Amino acid sequence: MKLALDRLHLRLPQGLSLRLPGWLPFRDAEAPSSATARRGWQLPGWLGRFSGGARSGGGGTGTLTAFTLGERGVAVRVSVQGGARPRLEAVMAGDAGAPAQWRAARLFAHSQPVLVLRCAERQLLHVDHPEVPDNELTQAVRWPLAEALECDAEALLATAVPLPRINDAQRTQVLAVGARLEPVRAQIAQLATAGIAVRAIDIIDSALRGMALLQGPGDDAARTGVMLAAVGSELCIGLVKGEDNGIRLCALRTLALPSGAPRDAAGFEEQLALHIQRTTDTFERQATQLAIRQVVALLPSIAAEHRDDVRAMLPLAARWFDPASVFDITPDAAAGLLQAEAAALADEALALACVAAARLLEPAP
Amino acid sequence: MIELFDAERLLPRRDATLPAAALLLAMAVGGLGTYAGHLQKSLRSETARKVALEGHVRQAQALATKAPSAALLADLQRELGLAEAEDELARGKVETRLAPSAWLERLAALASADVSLTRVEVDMLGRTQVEGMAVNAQAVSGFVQAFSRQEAVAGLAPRSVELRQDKTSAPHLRFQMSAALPAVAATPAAGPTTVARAGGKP
Repeated sequence: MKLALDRLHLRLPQGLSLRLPGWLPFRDAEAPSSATARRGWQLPGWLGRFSGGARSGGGGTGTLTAFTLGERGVAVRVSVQGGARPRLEAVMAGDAGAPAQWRAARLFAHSQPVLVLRCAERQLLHVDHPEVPDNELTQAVRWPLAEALECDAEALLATAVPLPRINDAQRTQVLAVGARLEPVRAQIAQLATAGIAVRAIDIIDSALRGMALLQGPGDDAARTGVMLAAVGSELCIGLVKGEDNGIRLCALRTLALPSGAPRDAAGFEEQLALHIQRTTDTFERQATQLAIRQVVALLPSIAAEHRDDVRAMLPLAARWFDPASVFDITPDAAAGLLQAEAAALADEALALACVAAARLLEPAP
Repeated sequence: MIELFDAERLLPRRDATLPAAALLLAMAVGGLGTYAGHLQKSLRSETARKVALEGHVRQAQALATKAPSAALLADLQRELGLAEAEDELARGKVETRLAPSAWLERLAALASADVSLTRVEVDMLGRTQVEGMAVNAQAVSGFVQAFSRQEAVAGLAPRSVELRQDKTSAPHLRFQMSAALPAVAATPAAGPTTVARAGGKP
């Protein structure tokens, strides 16, 4: 049994049970109560060191459920045990009322829920590294983000990711990530109503880092390259760099996929290849200190023969990201992927699996 | 790792100041209410006690005002004596009373320079109360002996003599003597009993 007071974990010996009054701010991590979720109890920051890494991700062990919300959403449950392959345990697609169904299906049992924002729900901005201490970076990028989103700086969720030096420019850059507060707050409230207490929010672009991490160990140069993943009508493209057994994002872009349906129609591959080529060229021009040798693409919604056509059009060595080779996919998850494919959410489901893997596989700081 | 979760903005703030203030206020109001209730209860009990005490005081005052005075007692005693005398007269136990002129003669015979009589009261049974002033106890003794000698003829015997030295009349002694007929002929006449009561310096 595992009890959680927000981020505090009490692990009791097997066979020992503990029954607590309902008014206590404890909750069973397997079934977080809606009341607790509504209360939103939170431990002071100094208690954060007691929080377990298993739920919060990192360190290579734990279970995580990443999901998107909206008119249609999809949830993916991924677990990592030691050095074994990440296990894709479950995939479930649904509509607006899906969170309650996901919870009923125990997708969040012993698992940390992570709300993942789609491309349309977040804003990316590359800015020169502000001349402030690292702990003030988030506050410093709030205003450029507010300007880009045309909203008040206080009505934003923001974070800043320092980017590594990739060229000879005097100043390094910072990736500013922001999202409007109100829609996210509404989603948190919706989840709380369903009894899901969310304490982690990521963006779908993190799938690129997860893809790089899922490539497995290797020298830093081999893990440096362009990652791209199609999510809905968007194409996330990122330049990643292997560094200290980890992966660092160097640049991130979002492109609208070439219009025209179906994606297998003639001309689509050509436009897609052109998109990729242009972005890769841009990255190559920016990253003068990096040697980009490979392109890894996650394009599950494109038929295999058309993928080969796209690959043939790219000048760099391109290869397709194969989920089956990096994930241990359970039958339930396979069925869920089929269901998601029928709902045109297969690419989003796999991207979410990569987001979860990125959080789980990221070396502990 | 990109983490957008911001507890400060996404979680409801838990400011306990207002609930704590409300709790304190409620406790204060509750405490005041309890204290007021206690005071009210005390007031009621004290008021009831006061009413009871006032009743007691009124009763005591009523009893005090209704207490028979010495004059009333004397009046009652006199009335009682008169009633007894009438009763004995009706039964023929009393002989003929002395006439007032005979009394004047007796008193004239008892008069002396050392004794001054202030009051002589004779009821229908012949019981006699004599009050007077004397210069000393010997004078009183002489008066009583003279009275005894006179009354032995008439049948009256002094029953009690009370001497009292009154500060207002010092150095004279105030005395009271009561005499009555012997109860039965078979019973020998008892000598006079003398009760000397000193009200001040002898």
